Amino acid sequence: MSSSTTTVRRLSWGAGARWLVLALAAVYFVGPLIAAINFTVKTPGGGVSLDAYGQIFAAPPTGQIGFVEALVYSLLLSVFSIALTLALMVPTQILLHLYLPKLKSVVEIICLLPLVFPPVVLVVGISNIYKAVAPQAGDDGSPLFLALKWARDTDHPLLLVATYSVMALPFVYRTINTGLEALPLATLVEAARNLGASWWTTITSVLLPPLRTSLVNAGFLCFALVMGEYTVASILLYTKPFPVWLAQLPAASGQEQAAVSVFSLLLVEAALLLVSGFGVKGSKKGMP
Amino acid sequence: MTVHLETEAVAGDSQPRRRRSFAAPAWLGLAPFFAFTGVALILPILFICWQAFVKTVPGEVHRDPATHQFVHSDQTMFTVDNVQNSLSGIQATSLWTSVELSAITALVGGVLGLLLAYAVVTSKGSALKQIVTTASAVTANFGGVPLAFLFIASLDANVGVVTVFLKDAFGISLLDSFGFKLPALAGITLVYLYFLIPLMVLVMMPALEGLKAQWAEAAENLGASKAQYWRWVAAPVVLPSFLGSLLLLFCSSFSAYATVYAINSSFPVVTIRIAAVLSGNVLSGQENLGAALALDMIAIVLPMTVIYQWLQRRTSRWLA
Repeated sequence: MSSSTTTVRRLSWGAGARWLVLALAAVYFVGPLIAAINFTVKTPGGGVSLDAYGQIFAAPPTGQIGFVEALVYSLLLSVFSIALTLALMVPTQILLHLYLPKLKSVVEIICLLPLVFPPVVLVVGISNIYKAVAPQAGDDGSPLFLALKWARDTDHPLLLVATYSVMALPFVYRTINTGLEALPLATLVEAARNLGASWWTTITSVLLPPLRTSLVNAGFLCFALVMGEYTVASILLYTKPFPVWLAQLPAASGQEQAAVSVFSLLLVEAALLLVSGFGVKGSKKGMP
Repeated sequence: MTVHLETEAVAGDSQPRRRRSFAAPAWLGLAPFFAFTGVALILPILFICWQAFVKTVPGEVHRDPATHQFVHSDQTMFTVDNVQNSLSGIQATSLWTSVELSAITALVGGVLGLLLAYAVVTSKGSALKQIVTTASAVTANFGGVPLAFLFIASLDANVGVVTVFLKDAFGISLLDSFGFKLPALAGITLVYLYFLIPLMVLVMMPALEGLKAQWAEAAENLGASKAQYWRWVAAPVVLPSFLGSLLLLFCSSFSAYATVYAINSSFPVVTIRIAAVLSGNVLSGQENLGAALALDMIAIVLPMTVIYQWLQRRTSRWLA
């Protein structure tokens, strides 16, 4: 026992080096936050005021939307994206595990594709298809164009929801897959079916409860993605999603921009803490 | 696998008809997935590949037999012009700057992230580990516009809190003394590190935790020096994971758009170039140029992702 501790100590760093690294990291990661908070509360006279935070909730100029409306818009986007992704992937992956294990690798490769095609590449494809089917002069537009135009409408932006669901596929696939692999799936289904449960009951009462952690985790990653997504929304000319709204705040009100940024960071952090309260482990961004 | 075979056998013995009737619905059950990804993912990608290699030119003028007016119809022809165009002029500059920025941020973020992860893994407190993991999960997802505004508030050349403080307290100007500008390569690197270092910490912690204490003991008992332990025991386990993570960081940095756009909307990176090409509706053929640029990005990201996945599989053997 004592030899093992000495070995580990001998082959790792001294305490000094470790604390230096941790202290530098703390300065780098906390510094900008403190600086930005400082920036938002100082007044030209050298005093302190919370006006910038009050302005967040002040009525927006005519014709523009306010903080709350933009935030709610993004929240709704994320709710629908999560619903679509889970409704698509949970049954698909249960089927794969139960009956079609040979197709698993095909589905996995498709789900990992969005890692190779960054959002900006996907949006080129979507935007160009939209332009290619756009009507020529004097034409009302083909049914395909009308359908796309309807899906693009800012009041019910199915186009955005679908794109976000695609972007979420890599980590949603991984999270659900991990959850399913931990379950004796075939046994559970066989037992439930033999006891006379319908497929609906089997999935909702037998399979979903033990998958809860995976589903919450997948949902949170999807939520984080949609709440911060700027590329697709801005290039497709949506103005209401929260990050786009934040970016178009007038630069003259730099204090307000910073205040909203600090505020939204704290919101996301609160959401993450709330979710980790459910016993969910930390998230992994990017490639799984 | 055994469980699966057994249950199939049981089902097959007792209810042969029910089992057979599953085959068709099981296939059908995947239809929504393939339909959705086909339309929302595969179709846009195929369309990019097609558009990158075609251009639309006016066809020959002819007289319409019904109206007797001169008309011409557009013709689509294959060409490499778009790709050539995407690799020259400002497009080439943007691609090169993107690669440069991504390589620098990946290397610096990778090394710093590794140091931080190592400092955390070798520390004794589990509370520290918990805090760093949670904080990394938050900050790795915290890119984009809000992050840019945090750094503008801190380091903007005129109003940034840190800039002003350094000038007032020590008479140091970041620009004059260090040549540091937030909207330039160094500044954008500093901002990117804010989400790349936590990402590195998240992906490297499992690999570093996989370095078992017994290996170090065994090495020491066999008389290995510190350098020998690192060279022959630790490095072969950690290196594939480290290299893979560098690729991950590179791709993350390479595809970033919002952060750099919010700091400097005219900074020459390929994502900003693509957005500019797409929004400029004036010139014809811009869609084809956008598609070619997108294809350039794919050509860079695709091999990296494949190598990353391969390295990850190699690494996971040691971490099992």
